[in-house]
Amino acid sequence: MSQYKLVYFQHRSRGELAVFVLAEAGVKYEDKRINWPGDWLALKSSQGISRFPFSRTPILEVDGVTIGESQAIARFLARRHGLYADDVFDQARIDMITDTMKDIYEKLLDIWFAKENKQELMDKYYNDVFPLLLQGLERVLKENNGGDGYFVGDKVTLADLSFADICYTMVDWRPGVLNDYPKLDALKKCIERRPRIVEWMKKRPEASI
Amino acid sequence: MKSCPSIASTTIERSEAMPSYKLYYFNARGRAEHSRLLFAMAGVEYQDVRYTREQWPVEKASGRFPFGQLPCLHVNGVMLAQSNAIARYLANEFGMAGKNNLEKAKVDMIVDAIDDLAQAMVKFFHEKDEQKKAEAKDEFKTKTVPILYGALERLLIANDGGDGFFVGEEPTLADFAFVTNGDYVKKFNPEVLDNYPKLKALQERVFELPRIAEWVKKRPVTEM
Repeated sequence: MSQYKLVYFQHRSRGELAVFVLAEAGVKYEDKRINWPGDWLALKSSQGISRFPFSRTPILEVDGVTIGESQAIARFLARRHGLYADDVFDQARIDMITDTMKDIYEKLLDIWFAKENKQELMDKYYNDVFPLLLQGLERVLKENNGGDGYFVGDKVTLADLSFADICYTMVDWRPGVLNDYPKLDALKKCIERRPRIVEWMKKRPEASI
Repeated sequence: MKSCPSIASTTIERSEAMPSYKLYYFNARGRAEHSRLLFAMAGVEYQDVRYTREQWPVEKASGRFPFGQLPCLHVNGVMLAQSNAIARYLANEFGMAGKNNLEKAKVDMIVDAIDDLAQAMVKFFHEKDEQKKAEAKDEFKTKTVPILYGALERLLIANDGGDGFFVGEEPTLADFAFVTNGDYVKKFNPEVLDNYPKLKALQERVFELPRIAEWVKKRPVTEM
């Protein structure tokens, strides 16, 4: 049985997808949080590249090996714990969703870091960029049995978790963003009602992203 | 020096029901090239569709492309989007994605880290403010690239000394992602690989693979 140690900041951000996977799969792990930016800078200078392959977090330490890159970690855990797919084509569909959610996340991060033009940026992304992506997501969802289930196949996968994870922030910052996408909205609520996700969301650290 | 006879000398065996692939992109290497290298390496035929700037708005409006973006891959009657989802799918189909969960995670990790570099490049490429652009370019050269290339050199060396490929004993998507991205990094920093001897040798090794060399000779020459 592998021992997992997930090292990340106290935010949801890039680490949360791996956390969702571990929560949904009911897998125990050590959840090591670092205060950003202060402690992170100190850790980087003391442990640096020997511990953090790309000088970034999150990292997953497992069986003496370190895996970096948030999506690589999440996919590795999903594969191991029955939250991916066996069929390579289904895997590609899952990846397509998680990559799209990552694109959305990068925009949210842009907004979060913006100093002078925050509101302008938020309007631009929410009005001009997200609708096209959400339309695409709703369409892909509907292609799977009419859209009343999950993104791929007939059970929860990494795609649904990734969607719920990033959508939480999207909706938190601008409620109603999913109003035109009833199937997506229903899926988000469905994932957030799953017992292990409920349990995790109740106890996870408070963060704006 | 390691060779890879098993892939270089055989064509992937396919059943009669081999899918027909159609890869859609612009007339550029960009986000489609690592997929094109996979096709070349596997010796698998595909339609290499390239839209001009004039064609794209019409094609985009057709709604055929799930997120209105390219590249897309049409296969099994379905349109797949997202450059790395496509590349990983092809790599899995052609046996070049890593042989077990851990190897796949290592390949993914490298591909994603390289993608982060590409995003950083795109960002300062599009930056309009001259001051910010210069700062971003400088950060790219002095911080972003050294951090990534340092990490990649270490990872390569950790794989049995670094005279083969990134993961396992044969080329994977990680190696193809590295060389395609490397073409762009070279534009900003022509001698960058001089500081990373194993990476430099890897790049040469990949471009010397017979099927890759053949593809590079015949592919359209494009600026990007």
